[in-house]
Amino acid sequence: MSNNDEICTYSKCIEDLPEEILLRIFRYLLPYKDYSSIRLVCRQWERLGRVTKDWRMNNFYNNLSLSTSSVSIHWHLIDPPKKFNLIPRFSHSVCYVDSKRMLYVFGGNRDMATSLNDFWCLDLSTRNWERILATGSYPPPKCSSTFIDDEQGNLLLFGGRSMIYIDDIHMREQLHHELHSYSLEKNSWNLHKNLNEPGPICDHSASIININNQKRMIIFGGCMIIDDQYQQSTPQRTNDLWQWTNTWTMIHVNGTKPEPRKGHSQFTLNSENILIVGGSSLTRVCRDVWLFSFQTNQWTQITVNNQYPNDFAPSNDDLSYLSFCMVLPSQILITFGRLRRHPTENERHTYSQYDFSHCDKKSREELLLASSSLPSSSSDENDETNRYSIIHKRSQLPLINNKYNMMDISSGFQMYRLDISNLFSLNPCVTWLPSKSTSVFGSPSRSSLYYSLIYARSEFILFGGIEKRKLCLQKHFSDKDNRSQSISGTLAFITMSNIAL
Amino acid sequence: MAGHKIKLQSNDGDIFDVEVEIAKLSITIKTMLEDLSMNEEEIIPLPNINSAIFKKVIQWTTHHKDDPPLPPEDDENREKNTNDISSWDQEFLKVDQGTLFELILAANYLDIKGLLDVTCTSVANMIKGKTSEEIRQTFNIKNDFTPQEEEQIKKENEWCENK
Repeated sequence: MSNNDEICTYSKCIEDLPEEILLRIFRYLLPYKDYSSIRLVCRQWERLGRVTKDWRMNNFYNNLSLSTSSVSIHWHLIDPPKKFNLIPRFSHSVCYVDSKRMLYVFGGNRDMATSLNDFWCLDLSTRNWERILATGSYPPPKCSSTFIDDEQGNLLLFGGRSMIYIDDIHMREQLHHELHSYSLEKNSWNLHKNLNEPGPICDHSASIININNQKRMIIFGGCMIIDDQYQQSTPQRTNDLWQWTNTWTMIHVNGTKPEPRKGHSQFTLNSENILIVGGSSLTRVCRDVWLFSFQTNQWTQITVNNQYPNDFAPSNDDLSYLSFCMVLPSQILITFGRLRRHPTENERHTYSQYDFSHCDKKSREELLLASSSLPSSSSDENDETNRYSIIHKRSQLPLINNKYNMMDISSGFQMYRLDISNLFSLNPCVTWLPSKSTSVFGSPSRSSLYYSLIYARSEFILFGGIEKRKLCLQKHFSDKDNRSQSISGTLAFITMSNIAL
Repeated sequence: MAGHKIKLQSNDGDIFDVEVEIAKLSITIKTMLEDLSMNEEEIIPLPNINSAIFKKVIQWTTHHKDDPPLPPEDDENREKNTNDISSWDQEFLKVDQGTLFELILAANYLDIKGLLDVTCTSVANMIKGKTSEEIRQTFNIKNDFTPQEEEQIKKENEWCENK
């Protein structure tokens, strides 16, 4: 027999591993390129690859869906790589292209006065950033633009805002009207000129909808410059609805329109409907939710159920800035905002069907306190099991703190969920759901606004943002030391499991 | 209790004196000692593990004996955290593939979750970023697809990605 066979009898190879172990190994892979590769290795791996993929997707959707079972939210934070000049930013534009497994990031603001026009992609298979050097008519620095995949090989970058210097000291806000498309194939930007364009606009929303086999970009709302009678141009909110199909057309709307607004999120639900949520009007935070039908060209206001307004929805303050993302298989919109107040004992009792242990900072502190003080009191030397469990806890808690950086509940992020599964029922409504996480691991200690949030394969990707308290400061003066800390370059991959650690 | 030792025997006959606290990191041994109330003088046989691998296992458990216990696990549902291997473990796992797989089998048999996690992560890292051909070469796996099957899967992969 050959030498090879001899080695095989003594040395184990991967085929000796039971399938349950292979599945265990596959769970460490990311659901992008590696999933395609393992399916092509051999028949066994092909089958196990499918099992792994189903497991990951079902796990994610189930954990997001309506059941009240508790989950843990895991944040995996990656700091921007030092070797690149990937400047921390907010109000940037992002677009996820699943076929490329890439997240594209354009521009944004590095501070209140400076916009960027650098262009990056993040390869989700490897988690590596790369700066894209594209040809063609490159877009100017701007923030608050929309950036979406036209599903025909181009990314559409539209509108936005930047500051321009009038002289050495004075600045003025400038709104952008340009529509650029980036061709993934040609790696080049193209500027589309059109006479009927909506005009300079920022903080609007956009999505692609496929109506009668024609893909259209729909934009709604935002801020526009409207010249008033005194020849002063002030940005004003709009409620216009436009479509772009290589040419701009304003969509005629029958009946009531939503109040003019900016900073909202827009989602295409099917080939007939779009949904808008969040943002702010001139006078208020928009808690209303609207559905537009391209069959009737009508807006419908949707009832918003919120049984416990103080807990289930983001605060008024936050709702006007937060970006949402949609997980269609779970029929849920997701956003991350500052944690609301802790419910009182009474309230917890009232809605006891929900799990509020995630809010239970007090009891966790007590546990820490108890576990560190009890061994020294050594009240019961003889009770072997009791002593064991105390020592057990004592060694466990601080270490977990180190490893996962258990978030400070009072200042961190919370996931908010808006259930959209009843949109097309007899009594259409959307419902804010209770937060159901029992624990949050690795979350940044401070919540931020103007971040970007994308739902990719079984994970959320949150990038950049700015802390709200710093935002207020910066409006008045710019503190250079604070500036670098307050604007986040944080990249976070957020997954969930239903195991409370 | 500390320092108290038990005798464990590998499948090639070697007998190891191991501290109880360290041996109990293996849930399998812990169960044997507690539930079956085995006599502590008795030699416990480990029919699935040879002495070379068992030495490695003892080395790992001795280093990790003060680690916090890992969370209870529901195998069906746990998301795996990726590529977190400590530098000590990285050094420990600088072994040939055969040894790595035997360590996995031993960790599985002895039910030492930490060791199983780190060895499986190590194998996953060997898969990451590779093409299917590179994976086959790395692990010496035979391609048992017919050309038609391979075409079909490539198409499905593309379809999934262009959905």
